[in-house]
Amino acid sequence: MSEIALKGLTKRFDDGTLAVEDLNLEIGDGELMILVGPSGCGKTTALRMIAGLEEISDGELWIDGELVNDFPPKHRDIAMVFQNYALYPHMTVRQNMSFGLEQAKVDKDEIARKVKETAEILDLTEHLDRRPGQLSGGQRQRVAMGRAIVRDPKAFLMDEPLSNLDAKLRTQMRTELARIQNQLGTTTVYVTHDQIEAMTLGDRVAVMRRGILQQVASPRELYEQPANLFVAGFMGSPAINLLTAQVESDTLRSPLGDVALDRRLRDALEHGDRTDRVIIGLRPEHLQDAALTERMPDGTVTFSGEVSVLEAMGAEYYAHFDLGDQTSVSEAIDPSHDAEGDPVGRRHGNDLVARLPINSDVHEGNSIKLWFEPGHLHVFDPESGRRLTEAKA
Amino acid sequence: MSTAALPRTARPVSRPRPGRLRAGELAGAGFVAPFLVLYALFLILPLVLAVIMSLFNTSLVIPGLGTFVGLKNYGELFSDDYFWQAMWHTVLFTLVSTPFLIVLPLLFAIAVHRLSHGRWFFRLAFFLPYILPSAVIALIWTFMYEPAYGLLDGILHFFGLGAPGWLSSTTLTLYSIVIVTIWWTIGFNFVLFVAGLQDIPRDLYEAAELDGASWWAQVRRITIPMLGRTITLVAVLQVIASLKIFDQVYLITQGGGGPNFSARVALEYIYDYGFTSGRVGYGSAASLVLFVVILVISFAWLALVRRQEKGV
Amino acid sequence: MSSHAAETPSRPAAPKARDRQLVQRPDVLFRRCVTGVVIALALLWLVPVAWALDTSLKAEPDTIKIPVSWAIPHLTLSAYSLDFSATDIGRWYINSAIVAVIVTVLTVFTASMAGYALSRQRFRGKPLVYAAILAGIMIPPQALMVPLFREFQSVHLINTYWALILPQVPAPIAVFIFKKFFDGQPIELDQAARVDGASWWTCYRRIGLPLARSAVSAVAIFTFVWTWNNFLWPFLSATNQNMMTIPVGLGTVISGTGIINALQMASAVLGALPLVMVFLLGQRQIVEGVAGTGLK
Repeated sequence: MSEIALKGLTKRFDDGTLAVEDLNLEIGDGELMILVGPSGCGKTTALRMIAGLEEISDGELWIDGELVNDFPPKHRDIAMVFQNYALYPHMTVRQNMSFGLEQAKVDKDEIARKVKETAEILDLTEHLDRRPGQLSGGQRQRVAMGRAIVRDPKAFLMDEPLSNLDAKLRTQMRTELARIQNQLGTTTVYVTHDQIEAMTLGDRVAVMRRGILQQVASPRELYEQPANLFVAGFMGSPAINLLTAQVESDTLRSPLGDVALDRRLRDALEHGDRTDRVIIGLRPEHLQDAALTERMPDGTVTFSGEVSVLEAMGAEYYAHFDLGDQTSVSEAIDPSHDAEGDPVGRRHGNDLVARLPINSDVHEGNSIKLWFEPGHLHVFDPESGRRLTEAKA
Repeated sequence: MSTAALPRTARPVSRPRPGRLRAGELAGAGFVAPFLVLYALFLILPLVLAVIMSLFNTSLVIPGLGTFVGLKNYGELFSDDYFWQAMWHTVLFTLVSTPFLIVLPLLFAIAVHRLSHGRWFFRLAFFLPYILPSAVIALIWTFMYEPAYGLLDGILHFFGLGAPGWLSSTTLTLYSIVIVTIWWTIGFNFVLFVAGLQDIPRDLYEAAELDGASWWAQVRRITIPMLGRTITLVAVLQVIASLKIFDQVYLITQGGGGPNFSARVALEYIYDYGFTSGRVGYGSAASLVLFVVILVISFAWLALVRRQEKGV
Repeated sequence: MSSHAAETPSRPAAPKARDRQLVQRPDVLFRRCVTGVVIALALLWLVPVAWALDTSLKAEPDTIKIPVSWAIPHLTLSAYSLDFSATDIGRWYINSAIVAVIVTVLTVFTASMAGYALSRQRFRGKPLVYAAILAGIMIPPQALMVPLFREFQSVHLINTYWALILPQVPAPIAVFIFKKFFDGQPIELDQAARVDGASWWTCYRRIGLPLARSAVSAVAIFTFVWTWNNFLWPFLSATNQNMMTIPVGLGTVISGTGIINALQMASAVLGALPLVMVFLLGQRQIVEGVAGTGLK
């Protein structure tokens, strides 16, 4: 029974910057919670506050029903996996894994037994007497995991634990990690900047930006019902297409063509602050190749464009279209635009992407006809970035 | 379950538990405390005492501070020819020895640095004397300087030259001590320079080589400019060390400061008055003057380094 | 010439190569000369020590022969045995060892702890403490011998190990070296240990200190050498023959025992011996230590 509750958690640094602002988050027992966001979003600071490595400026931190704000790390009974593993270089793998248990004054035989068990789970048995320097990156990562697992703590805190691995190993360890976490059922808070990791690993994902929690939801919900422009832009690759559209009585005039306002869209516009202009969002996979469609559903919108860049991804194409200046979205739509590392801003404003099947007859420089269902459109408030549309019925 | 719930709700009551995180604070203070206590007792307290006692006629043989004399000690100090003489010897010693102690080890280091093997031998030869106690140095060199059967006079004799009276001449004694000091302490600077040389990227020399620069041009145009910081550092450490010179002078002149005080240095003057004559108050005043001189030079160096760093 | 060269393509390369050699020759020659000179100087540097060793093995009458000679007509260790019987050198050795070892241990211990705290921990007054330590590096202890002596005199601790040991312990430079060293260590290691449940003390002892081996050895060797060699303070605070350290004791040999050259040189050799051993064992750490402290 170890849930973690963050109530209004705030971190104000000495220079006055707010790293984390009023963070409310409940992590259930055995849950794998992902904190995701671009660098500098406060996710690591939040994790370090949970660990006790960073003082809490304001708010409450509850672990297992105990208010632990003032507890030093050693009294919180949590284990942490660091980005660069932080293995003690002068100790063998066995000593690294025993260290925490020794601090807890666990009986020697018990330590030996636990280390042996954990080493077996992680396939480290033959490396127990080696030092970290003699291990490969993947092995070090597993030792870091082992050091956390062996203690059987109330919670695991993981700070980008896979970011130092090469791409292939990362995918492999991701699966491994999910399996182990599932098997142990230990409450886990996992920090990453990689939205794919967040989508594939977590039970729930908390998206943060500039110290403020944007949305907490299951990966699927985040993807399908992003709370705002930022979440919509952050989750998914290639990123969602965001475009400005004008509202004219019964029609939404978008660069992709006019969309007749149905009930869902009309409701959405009523919730917004402005009635003349909105941001629409459309996932690249919701743009379909008309040539490959036998019969389009009713109410679809079609759009013809010239493919400016074509990326062959193997199983599919990413087709880019140049929409010209008038639809420039990123900076125009978001006054609080992030300077860097912000996925919304990373996309060119006038660039539209479609994911097309590999049998599409697309070529760079050629025109192609695409269509989409208005039901897939997200509508966002251009001022606050809030999503206005309800989920697709 | 319900029993577990009780303490849970009870816990928040004990929330203002200032002891917990303060423990980190306490640990920090605890970690620096042992050092700070010793630091305060044996570096700061003596400094404070020096300031106080310099205003009293404190004596070694009478307990207590003695009577307050104001700035009289300083007045006497500044009007004492022997004090100025000792200060002058110290300055002279510094002026004469420092150039040798910079140029010689620098040249040695440059010459040795690019040798592929046998560097340990030079380290042994040049650095070994540095780690020997002053008393050993004094023993060896008093014997080296011994009239007639000392090694140096022996060599001079071999070439048909007369004995100059290394330690008996009022003009030569201080310079004899300079020679000892160069021999003794050159190794430290040598090692500093060798380390500095190792920090100069090799490709600079390779680039210079391709540009057709000769060995000497490389030394002049690359080595010496790149060693700028090390050279300043060595120079200042050397000056400060020279101002604190005592051991070898005291030991070689056997406490006499050389014939007719011709080699008595500042610290020896302080020793003679503060201890031998038991005038602790007066000795403190002299100590403080020396202290201030050294401090000023140290800070001047800091300022210089700052400026150098900004310039780079 | 030029028409010749144009006919055979391999020809022009030959004079070029010779040219290059011509350019390099004086350089190589110059370097050889420099090397030769520096070897000669290094040998010259060893002469005084060699001469002391040579003399210490002579019988006393042979040490005052004119002309001076390196030859040892009667090889004898009598000067050494005389040294042990005529002086308290054995006692001085013990005192020096006690003082140097304890000072070294205490210095490494207190300085590394302070350096660790300054690098890793947050506590009130930390900037002040650090400033005080930086300023302390500038304080020349030798200039404060008079008041320091008075301090010990007033608590009647002159001629005790307390007086010999304690004032030599606080070395701000050592704190500075340790702080710099810990600053260069990944902070995650300590954080990992803290999360693993270790106290600050455990972090320092099990993680910080073991990883600071190179800093510890450099500071330890230097403190040992400096303390062993320190003359002025022990000279003032140990006036009793029984409390003297090697340098102070040998100081009395210079002026005291009448003039017995072989004995003096034997004393010099004996006084140098422990340090030569330290030097040979710790050469690498000493050299790295000098470089490390000097360059930052």
